[in-house]
Amino acid sequence: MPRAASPRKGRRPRPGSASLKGGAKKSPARSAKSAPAKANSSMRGAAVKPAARGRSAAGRRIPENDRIVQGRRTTAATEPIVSPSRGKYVYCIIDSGDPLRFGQIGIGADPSDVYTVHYKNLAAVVSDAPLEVLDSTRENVLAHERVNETVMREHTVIPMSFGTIFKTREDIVELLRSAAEAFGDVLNKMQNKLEFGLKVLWDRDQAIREVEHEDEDISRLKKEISGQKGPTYFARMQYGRLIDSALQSRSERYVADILDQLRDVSVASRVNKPIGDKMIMNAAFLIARDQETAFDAKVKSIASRFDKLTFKYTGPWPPYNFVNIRLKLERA
Amino acid sequence: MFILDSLLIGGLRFVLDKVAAAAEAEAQDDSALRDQLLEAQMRLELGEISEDEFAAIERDILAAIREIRRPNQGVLTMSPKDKITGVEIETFDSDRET
Repeated sequence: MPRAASPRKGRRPRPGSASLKGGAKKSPARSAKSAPAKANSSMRGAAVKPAARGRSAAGRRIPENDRIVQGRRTTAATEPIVSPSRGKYVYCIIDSGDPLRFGQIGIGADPSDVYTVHYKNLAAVVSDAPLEVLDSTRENVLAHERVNETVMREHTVIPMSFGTIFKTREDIVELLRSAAEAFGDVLNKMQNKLEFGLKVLWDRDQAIREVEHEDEDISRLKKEISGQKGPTYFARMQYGRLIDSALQSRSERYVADILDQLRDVSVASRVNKPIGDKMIMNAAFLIARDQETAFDAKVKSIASRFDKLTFKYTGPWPPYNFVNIRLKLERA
Repeated sequence: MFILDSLLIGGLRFVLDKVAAAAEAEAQDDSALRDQLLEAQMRLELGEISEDEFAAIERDILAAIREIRRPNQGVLTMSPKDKITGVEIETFDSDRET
């Protein structure tokens, strides 16, 4: 018998996570999500307006030459006043013109305040953190995730990769400023979309028994091997090869079937490498908020149809698998 | 299931122009270790190993990863003199493959 996946053992179980075994019900907790803050998006238009022309006449105009020679920008003119040992850990980027606070849920042994750093209507969600490389321990990664989970209740987020620390607030403002247009586009595109994860595991031993039973060649070969006093090396080799390829095509059929059924209720999907030898599918789906219920129902119906497979269904997540921004940075 | 695998793939990342090539090559080095970490994570989720066993595995793997850590991995600073010379964005239109 295939074993059911045990409940999460994490220190901070995520309400949205669930193991589905056959028709088992998934926790409904995660449907209690608040709607995205729509007000934010309407403000972006104002932010991209060119700066008022009259400002350069205000007496503190930077001479044209200086700007070229030094390459300095007025937004970063103030020097950072921070202790050298503290940096800013960045969790995600959102659309918000107003300063926000998310409570003391920051990464690190002593959870610090999570707040925003702004450039116009773009905001980076940050907390103060030691200036050192963070190990990707489970605890740290969960802390990163916990912040993003909190922020995404009210905002569309562009998640940062785990472990991004900037030295100063000005560094972050500079990042937002230099890629403002790209961030704005991506935020627009990700509005009202959620990521869900679906991992599918099988009982490999049971799958082997099934292919032995169903595949004539394998079945015959198995009898041959077990009938002989000293089974031949080549028979064993061939048996192994046949099993491998039968398992491979069997798992591919499952995956194709599952993906096919979820296509109509998702915006996009992405298949990642399975983890370990029991997993046959490791996929992420991007779902429009208004299709969430339909997607949910579909996953449940698939899980009840494939009762020999174990389904691990999680979310909603920020769109980690559907936003990939690489910024090329050239040092002066 | 736990998100570690996703966190290591997506989101917003930085590529420092001058070291990009070297970093890409070296990134291969710790991928096997990261796979091991993910697998241990999964076994913990499935109840096959205990929290303590996981902690021990995690400690060993992270120590090994630290050994081969890339030199540019660490604290980022962006002075106004630095320039973002390229922004590569992949979103769902370009990666729907299935």
